[in-house]
Amino acid sequence: MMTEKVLQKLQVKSLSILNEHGEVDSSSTIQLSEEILKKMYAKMLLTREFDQRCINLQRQGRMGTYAAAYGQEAIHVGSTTAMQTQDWLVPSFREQGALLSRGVNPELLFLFFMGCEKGNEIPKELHTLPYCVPCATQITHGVGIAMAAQYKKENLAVVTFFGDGASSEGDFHEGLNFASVYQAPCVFICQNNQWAISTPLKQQMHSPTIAQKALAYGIEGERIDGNDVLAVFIATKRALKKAYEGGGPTLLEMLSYRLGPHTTSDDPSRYREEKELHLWKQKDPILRFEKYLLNKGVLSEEEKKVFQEKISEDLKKHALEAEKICQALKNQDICEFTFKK
Amino acid sequence: MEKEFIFPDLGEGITEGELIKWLVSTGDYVNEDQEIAEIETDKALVSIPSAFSGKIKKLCYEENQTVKVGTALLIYETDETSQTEDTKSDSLKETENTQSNREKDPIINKKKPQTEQSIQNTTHLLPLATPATRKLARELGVDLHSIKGSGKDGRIIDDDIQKAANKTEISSEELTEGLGSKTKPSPSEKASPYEAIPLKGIRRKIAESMQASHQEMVMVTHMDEARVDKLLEIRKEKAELAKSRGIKLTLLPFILKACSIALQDHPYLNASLQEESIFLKKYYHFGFAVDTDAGLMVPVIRDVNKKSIFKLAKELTELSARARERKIDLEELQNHTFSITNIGSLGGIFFTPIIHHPDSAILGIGRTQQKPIVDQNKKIVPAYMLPLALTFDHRIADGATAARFVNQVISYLEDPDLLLLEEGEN
Repeated sequence: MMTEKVLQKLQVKSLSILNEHGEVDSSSTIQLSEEILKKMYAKMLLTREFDQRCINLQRQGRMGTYAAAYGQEAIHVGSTTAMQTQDWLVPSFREQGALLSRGVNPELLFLFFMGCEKGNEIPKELHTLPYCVPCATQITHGVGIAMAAQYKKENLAVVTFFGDGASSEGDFHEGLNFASVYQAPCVFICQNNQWAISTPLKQQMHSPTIAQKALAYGIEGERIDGNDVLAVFIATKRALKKAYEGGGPTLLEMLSYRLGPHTTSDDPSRYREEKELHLWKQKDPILRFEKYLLNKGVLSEEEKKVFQEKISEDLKKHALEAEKICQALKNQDICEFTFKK
Repeated sequence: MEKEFIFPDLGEGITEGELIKWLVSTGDYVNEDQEIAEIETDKALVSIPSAFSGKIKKLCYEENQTVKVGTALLIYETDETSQTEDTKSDSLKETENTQSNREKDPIINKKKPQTEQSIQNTTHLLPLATPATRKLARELGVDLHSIKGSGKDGRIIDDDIQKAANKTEISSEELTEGLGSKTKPSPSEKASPYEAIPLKGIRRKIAESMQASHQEMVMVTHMDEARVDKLLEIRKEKAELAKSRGIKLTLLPFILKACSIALQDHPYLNASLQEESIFLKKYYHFGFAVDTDAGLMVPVIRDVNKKSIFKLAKELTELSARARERKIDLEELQNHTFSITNIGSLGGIFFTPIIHHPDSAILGIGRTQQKPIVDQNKKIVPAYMLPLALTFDHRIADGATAARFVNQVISYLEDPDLLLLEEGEN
């Protein structure tokens, strides 16, 4: 006689707190000070303004290829705000918001995109790796750092960023498997912006969610509204806490949308619908957080303006400074920062 | 002061873009970051934000024109004068003043050499060279500052290092000459080591057609020789008669005729493969290769099988003359079924012709030469041999078909009387 049993029933949860009208779910209990909320808002604005500055510089022939984070600011800022100083940030190539939020000087980021190696010289104390452009390779780096911390009994966790396309790469699966076997203190943040360059999500994977890929490795996977900075914050905070306490890794699928092109060399109007873009523009993470803060009285229209102007001015100055440095280091040896002397 | 906005590489390695629309006009005052134009490159349609503020003096391109990367897109008249210190918002201004900025900047100051006064402004920067070349210089004890690079943009290459190392001593004159290279560029720095010719016109057509054949077909070349002593005699005998009719008689019309008859027995060599079907053509239109100043052209002679050798000779002369003068109509180059290419007038024996797309075969003719051959009586005798190279598409025909066809052509060329007997449609 044939015996069939259900061995396991697996579940994938999702989390959202702040809807697109800027309303908070009544059941949620967020305890963030006004100061932190404002800081998060300012960092999101900074990210968007930084992107715009870089795109302009690129169009003016003053910068190389650039990948903007337009629409994904909540993921960068929410997650890094949840991190502690000792935690490590392992970015991919679109995480300027995360780097800026960790305290990396915008000048360094400008330098990097202007092709100056000095831009990778991130101060050690920021525990932030430089950009990693090859798809998914940084996932294994992140796991390695986490395993090393575990071995050295350091109480920290590693937050690794990657995109939806990367979740179909071998490095993703190898990374998750190792992290799972060793119960490494990792938080995997998959920014599902639904487009792997010009390949839509449905054409590069059949799984209904990316979060469920975690279940195969016996680790927790959760889908978060990636345009909701509060949900991103809470989810990352929980995952980090679990990691510090020896609970192992977590995969957080941050569902969002890439509102701009893949990079400055790309033209999305050639492959995606204007309708889809319009729909997601209404879910803009900055707009909804702004509505929330304005309603709550944490932010005023005036303050918002002051923020914007100051950020814009500061970034212009930093960009000019970076151009000067670039010019002066024009013939610099590209290997100067590669090897320890 | 006047300033140019240089059109940058907007993608990764693009060289030009099409100016779709100007968003500003001459005389407008434009602010930094204001959008000035829409340009479409191979990769994307993008808006260009202005790099600085100022009044537009001149738009250098018109809409729908192709803008080359590195050329001025438009010219501004900016408010500032070139000497003003107070130009914080202007980036180019600041980069122009790099030297003074460098002194102010703490990051860069660290890099400054001690002996600043004695060395020229730029010499503290490393000269251009790859890491491998630098390593070689270190190994051979060559100071990169002391030599002049002969590579692109004055780049120092391995060769320069070797040469410098081989010199027993460097005179002080040579040393100053090397340092002075900034003011007097060497010829190698100025002249590009290559010239880029855009692929266009006839060259482009040739490239496309050749590539189509080469990518689609499975080409094999079958080679053989025909003894043409008899044919040459006939030609000699009839030369006067031909001349009286204004015809220059060569071997080519005979070969055309021979092929048109033989092809009727070998239809797969007068065919084309299109959309899973082989089309056997019941007409015999031959392309023949003409070398023109602009490149290879292939005019077509219609119904070769129906025309006399004199008529073929006359058409060959007329069509090639018109091809050389570029007075040929497009129609006269189309609708061919087979082709002949004759390299013999220039030299060469055997070669591997490329089929004229979408035909299934082409016959290549080399130079007729006298050669010693063994005749029927086992004697070595001199003979005029005509080399033939037939390239066929192995998807459509097989080696045996090609061999049989060439044998038949040879039989006609060796015994031209047969041409008379076989003349006419089957």
